[in-house]
Amino acid sequence: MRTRVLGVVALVAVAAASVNALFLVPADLNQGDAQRLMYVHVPSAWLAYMSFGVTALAGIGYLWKRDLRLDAVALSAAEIGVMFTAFAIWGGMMWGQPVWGVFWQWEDPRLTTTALLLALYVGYLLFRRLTDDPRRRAARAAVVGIVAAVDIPIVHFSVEWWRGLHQGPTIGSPERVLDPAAPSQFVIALVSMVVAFTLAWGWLLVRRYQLARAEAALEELSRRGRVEEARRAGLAAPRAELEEPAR
Amino acid sequence: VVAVLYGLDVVAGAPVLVLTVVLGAIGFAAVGTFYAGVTVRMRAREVMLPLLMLPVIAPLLLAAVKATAAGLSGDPFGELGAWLQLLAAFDLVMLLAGAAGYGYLLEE
Repeated sequence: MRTRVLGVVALVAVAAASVNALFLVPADLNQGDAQRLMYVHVPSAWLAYMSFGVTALAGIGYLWKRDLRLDAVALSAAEIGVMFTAFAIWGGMMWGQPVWGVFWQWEDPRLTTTALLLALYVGYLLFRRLTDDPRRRAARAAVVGIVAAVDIPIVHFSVEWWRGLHQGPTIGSPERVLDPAAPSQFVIALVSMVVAFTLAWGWLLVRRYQLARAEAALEELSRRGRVEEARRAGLAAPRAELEEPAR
Repeated sequence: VVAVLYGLDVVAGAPVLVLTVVLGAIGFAAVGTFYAGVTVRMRAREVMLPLLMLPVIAPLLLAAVKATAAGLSGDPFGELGAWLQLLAAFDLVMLLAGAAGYGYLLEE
C-alpha cells in the first residue's frame, strides 16, 4: 500500500515537473528546444550514480551482516542503474547531434567513461547469473560491486580532469551551488526534475526489491520440493541440496 | 626500433617511462589478481575474465598511454603530473580494495 502511494506521488511529480520543463520554462537562447533534453539527461545520470552507490553500500552491508535481503537491494539497484545509465547515454546522444554535431565522440572522457560504467555493470549483472549458490553469489557480487564503484568518481570528475567535448557541471560542483551558471527558472526546473526522478527511482527500487525477494523465495521452494521428491523416492538427495536452506 | 625511426628522445624521457611502467604494472597486477579471484570458481571463466576486467582496467591503460606520450614529447601541455597522479591513485585504490575484498572471494 505504501509502495503504491509512493508510486502515485512519483508519477504525479514526474508529470508535473515534465510539464514545467517542457512547456513553461522558456527554451534556451542558443540551443533551442534541444536544451530541454537536459531535464531528463541530468536526473538520469544522477540516478545512475546513486544506484551504483547503493549497490556498493548494500554490498558492504552484506559482507558485514550476511543478510540476503541486502544482496537483493544490491541487485535491484544495479539493474535500475544500468537502465538509467543507458537512458543518460541515449538522451545525451540525442542532444549531442543537434548541439555538438555528433552523436558520439570517443575522445571525450565523460562519454567514454560513462560507456565503461555501463559495460562494468552489465558485466556485474552477467556475473551474478553465472554463480548458482545464493550465498556465494552474494558475497562475490558484493565485492565486485564495491570495486566497480571506483568508476563513479572517475566518470563524475572526468569533465574537470580532462579536456573534452562534454561541458562541466552546471549546478553540481560546490562553488556553483550558491551561484548557478543558469537563470533560476532553469535551475528550478532541473532540480524539480531531479527530485521527481528520484521519487520514481525509489518506487522502482522497492518494486524490484520485492520481485527479487519473491524470486528468491520461489527458488528456495522449488529446491525444497526437489529435496522432498528425492526423499520420497528413497534416494539420497544430492549433497548440495541438503545443506542448510539459505535465508 | 620505434625510437630510432621516429627520432624520439628516449633518454630524456627514461625516468618518466620507467615510472609509468612500474605504476601501470602494479595497477594491472592488482586488478588482474582481483578479477582472477572473482572468476576462478565461475562457469565460463575464460570468457568472463577479460570481459569483466577490461572496463575496470581502461582508465589505467588510458592514463599510462597518455603519461607515456607526455613523457616522450617533453610534456608540451603540462599534463604529465595529472596522469601520473591518476595512475598512482588508481593503483592505491585497487590495491586497497583488492586486499580488502580478496578474503571474501576465497571463503568456502
